[in-house]
Amino acid sequence: MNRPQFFFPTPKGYRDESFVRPVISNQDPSGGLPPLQYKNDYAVLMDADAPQIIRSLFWQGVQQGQNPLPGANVHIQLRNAYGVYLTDGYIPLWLMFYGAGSTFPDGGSGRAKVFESEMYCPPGSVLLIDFFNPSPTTTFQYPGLMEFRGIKRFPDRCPQ
Amino acid sequence: MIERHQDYILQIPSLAPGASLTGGSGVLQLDTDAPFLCRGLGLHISPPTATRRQTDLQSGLFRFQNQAGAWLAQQAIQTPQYFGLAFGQGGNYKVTDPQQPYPPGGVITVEYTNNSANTLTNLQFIFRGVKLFADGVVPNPAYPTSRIRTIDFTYQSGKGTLTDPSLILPTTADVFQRSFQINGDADFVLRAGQLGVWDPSGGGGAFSTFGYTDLYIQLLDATLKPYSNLPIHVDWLFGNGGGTDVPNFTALGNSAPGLLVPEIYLRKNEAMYFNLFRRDAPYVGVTDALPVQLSIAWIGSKIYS
Repeated sequence: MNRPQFFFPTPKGYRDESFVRPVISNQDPSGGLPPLQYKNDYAVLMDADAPQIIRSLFWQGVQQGQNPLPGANVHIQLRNAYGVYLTDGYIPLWLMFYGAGSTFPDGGSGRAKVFESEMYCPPGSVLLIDFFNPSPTTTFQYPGLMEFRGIKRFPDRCPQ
Repeated sequence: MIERHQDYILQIPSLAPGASLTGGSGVLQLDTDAPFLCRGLGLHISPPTATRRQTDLQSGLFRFQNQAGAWLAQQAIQTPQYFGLAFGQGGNYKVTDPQQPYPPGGVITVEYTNNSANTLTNLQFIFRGVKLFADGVVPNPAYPTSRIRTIDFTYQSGKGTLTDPSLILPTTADVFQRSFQINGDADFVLRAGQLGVWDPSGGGGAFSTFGYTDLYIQLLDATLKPYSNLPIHVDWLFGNGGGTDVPNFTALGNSAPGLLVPEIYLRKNEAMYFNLFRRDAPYVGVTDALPVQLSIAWIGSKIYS
């Protein structure tokens, strides 16, 4: 019943290179997410040069210099690159990510929510994220700093 | 053999400053259905109202016995040195290596001296490990033998839907046999959990922004067989999800999701259950008397076959 987790060898004929897909500050919409509102289908476009295999997601909530709207208190719904939901509805992100080490507003331990099993993203695919603000009174910023961490997988051959 | 997650808890209602558990006063009687392999140790108290913290456990002396009744330390050891920072918060337990086996119906005897200035209330010694069953004795769903595909997945309890009502607990509350139902599309293997408040801003004043202090949970399998002999504090099983924006909030436990080892395999459409017990009435003077709205994240993988 038990097996080693988070153990993903590189297949023969390929080489893996460390890769991070960040969501940077200029992708945050101004104005934030009003109370009790949804923002669905936030798109994160992956690179087109090779498959990306995502193994963890780090979430910092608020980025440095990104005041005054709080960025920590939203719920999120994740899908993989094929549109399959990875969460049972909108989950408080402090249950998804802060528990894995991220903290708000800044800093954090650098640990991240681990995907088990790893999440395969074809070249040029899109990850869609849905947001929900549970507060009836407070507007929150989103998405803050996200980093999809994993590898890119290239054929193991000499450059042409 | 089947290994099944188990937390054994010895609870002492009160231990005065300077008092010790010695002789027969610190004996945990184990169940008779299976041997127990102890792989981790933790401590917990209902914290003092003034601090809501576990710091009184930093002033204590502790040791315990193996199955033969031999002490596993020559003398009781100061708790900070014995446990390090691993008192069990967030599933971060002091590792027992090698594991200590105990027979069915055996006992675990502890010695503890309270060197703090306060009376310890509901002092819990938590022994984390597995029960060991012969094949076929208890239900043991497992991965299909056919080829499978898996995806990371997080279930949630407390969404506030018709099939999953909100988890709203007043300062003193008991919730019995709340179900956690697996969808019909795939099996699910549960590897970790996280519990926190639904809305850190307090839902416009309807709910406490202080979160909970003394909140306990007991997991039960599909046959209602519990995974612990007593309810265990949620931060000691799951880890605390944080989730408050109140200045000077008193953090409870660390923030790592508690891992369930071994993992719990649930077939599609199967349910497991949990009980919740909130005992925060003593703390309303320093927090508030509002209910808390909770959410539980059940972290693992869907297994498609």
